[in-house]
Amino acid sequence: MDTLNSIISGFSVVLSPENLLYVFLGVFIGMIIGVLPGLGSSATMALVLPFTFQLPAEGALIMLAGIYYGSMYGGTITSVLLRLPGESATVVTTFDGYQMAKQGRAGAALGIAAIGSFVGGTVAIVGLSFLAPPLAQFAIGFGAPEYTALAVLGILLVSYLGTKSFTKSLIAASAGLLLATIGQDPVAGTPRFTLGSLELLGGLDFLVLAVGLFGIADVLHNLDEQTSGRPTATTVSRVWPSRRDISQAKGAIGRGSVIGFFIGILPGGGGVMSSLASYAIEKRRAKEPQRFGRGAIEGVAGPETANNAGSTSAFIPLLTLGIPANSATAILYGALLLQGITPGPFLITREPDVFWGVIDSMYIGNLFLLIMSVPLVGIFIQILRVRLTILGPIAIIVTMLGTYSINNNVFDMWVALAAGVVGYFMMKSGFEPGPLVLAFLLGSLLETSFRKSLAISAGDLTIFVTRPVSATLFALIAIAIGISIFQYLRRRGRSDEHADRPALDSEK
Amino acid sequence: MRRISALLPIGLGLLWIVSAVMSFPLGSLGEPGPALWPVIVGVLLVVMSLVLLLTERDGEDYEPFTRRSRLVALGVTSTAIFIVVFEYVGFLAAGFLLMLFWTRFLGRESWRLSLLVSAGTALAFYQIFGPMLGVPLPSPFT
Repeated sequence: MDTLNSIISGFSVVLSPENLLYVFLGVFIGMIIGVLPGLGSSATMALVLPFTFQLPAEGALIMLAGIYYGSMYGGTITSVLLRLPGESATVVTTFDGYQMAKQGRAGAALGIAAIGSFVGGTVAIVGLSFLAPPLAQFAIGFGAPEYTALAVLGILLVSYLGTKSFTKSLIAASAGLLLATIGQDPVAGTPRFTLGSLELLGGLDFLVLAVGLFGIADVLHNLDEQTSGRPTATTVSRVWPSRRDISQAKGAIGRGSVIGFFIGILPGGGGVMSSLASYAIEKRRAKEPQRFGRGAIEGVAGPETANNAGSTSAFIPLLTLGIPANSATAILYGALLLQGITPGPFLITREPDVFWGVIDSMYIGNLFLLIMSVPLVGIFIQILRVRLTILGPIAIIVTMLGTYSINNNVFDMWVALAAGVVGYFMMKSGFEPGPLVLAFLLGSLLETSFRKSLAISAGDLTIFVTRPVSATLFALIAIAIGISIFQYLRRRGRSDEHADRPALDSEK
Repeated sequence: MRRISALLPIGLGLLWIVSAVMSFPLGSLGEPGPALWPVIVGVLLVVMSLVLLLTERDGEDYEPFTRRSRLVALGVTSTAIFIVVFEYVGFLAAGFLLMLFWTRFLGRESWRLSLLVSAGTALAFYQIFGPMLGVPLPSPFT
């Protein structure tokens, strides 16, 4: 089979000593960062991005991908041991994982999370390997109206599935679109909003914005936070679940893989949504739902599997359609652009080494995760001791150097700092930076597609609904908007009787 | 804080719309001009902000500014000074000083630790970005 051949040839790319090193480095760095509360996976990837410019395309992507799912697992470690989610996707793990740790079963929780992550990731990769090529084929037929629809759908879903207010995320997204208009008009070339400055003529640099909004803002926000005494980590005896644990968790793992895979493909989906969905489903399925929240192993196994599957399948829209689905894949998109590669349906045929190399690196990366998680847990607990007071300024220095090194330009450093300040205020007010960054990235694509569509149809707006694919996508968009309005009205009705909102404490 | 978070985007959106319309042609749907998209986006921003203004019920999302928040202002200012100064005194000096300020004054670490860590970090990154990655870093000697 053609796909099988490609997968195998992809391995020859990955199994070179350098690329293996990149996988290892990526997973390792990712785990460390995931363990440290304060720097999210998107921030780390943004920080590492300037370094990767020096590496060949596959190497850069392989390492960034490793950081991505490595940090997922790192986040699990703190969720279980300290009830501190190191990653937004591991918030759910704090519910039952920490309880298990208090019962002396931390090892089992961590072990089942590693196993589940491995299974989920592998299932998703297999799905990706077989689903991606036909999807890419299909996407070749996509024209400007379809891309318009996809970009809009992506922005909407990222805003909708965010952990905070939908309205605020949409505002952030609109601001991102606004920022994307700075620079030259993509069709006519007229300078817009550049205030006569030469630097702004090229538009704001995505990387600089991302580094500022995620990295610097995170550091500033941590400066602000009251760092009260952290609960001491419970001791970990055996990092491996018992046979009974495994058999209990089997079903959850299986279901989690499938749930995560499909939710992750949706633009805007990814780890967070998958883990939430899995937890809800496991709880509903269980014969004794009261166990959940008290150390039910399915409550760890399912969501952990789902979030790995989801973060992996989030690569599908990026690699096949060229549309990033969430902040992390947006950064990967930026990395590809830095390397001079434009992701899209042609990526698979034009740069098969990159495409299959990245996918195969995921198989290996997942394996590394599983192998490394056992011995390294002890080390990670030690790392937690390094105080944020030292890590913070280190991150700032790295950010400043990183942004300077992109264009040897001091202007970028100012942009990053400004973005950091904006990001800080956003965090204080409950706005999410993710939609802003994603919308910024998609902004020029969206505008170009929109104007091209209008040019094709000579100003007729119905072109968006007469073409079948684009019509379906817009129908989905309409449904999504309709549902959220409906939910809002329902909540309004209920809260008029009694103020009652379930509080989900979520970090980044 | 709540008012500002809704009013600021409204202001921004209006600013965008007005400056776009005044500077470039709007065009028509059949032949879009450079101002069309910025106006659409500006309108979107204003509409969503109005929705926020009208529908936000509680202040749950908003984190209060505490005395610790002054540290943030100090952090930002020090970084700004770093950016201004670094092209003149070079990265090593500026980076060292910035790290020192953050670890000692913002982080309340001991002098010994701060000096050690700052020197170590400045040197390490100078090495990594300079010779290793080949980025031309300004130094006072060029």
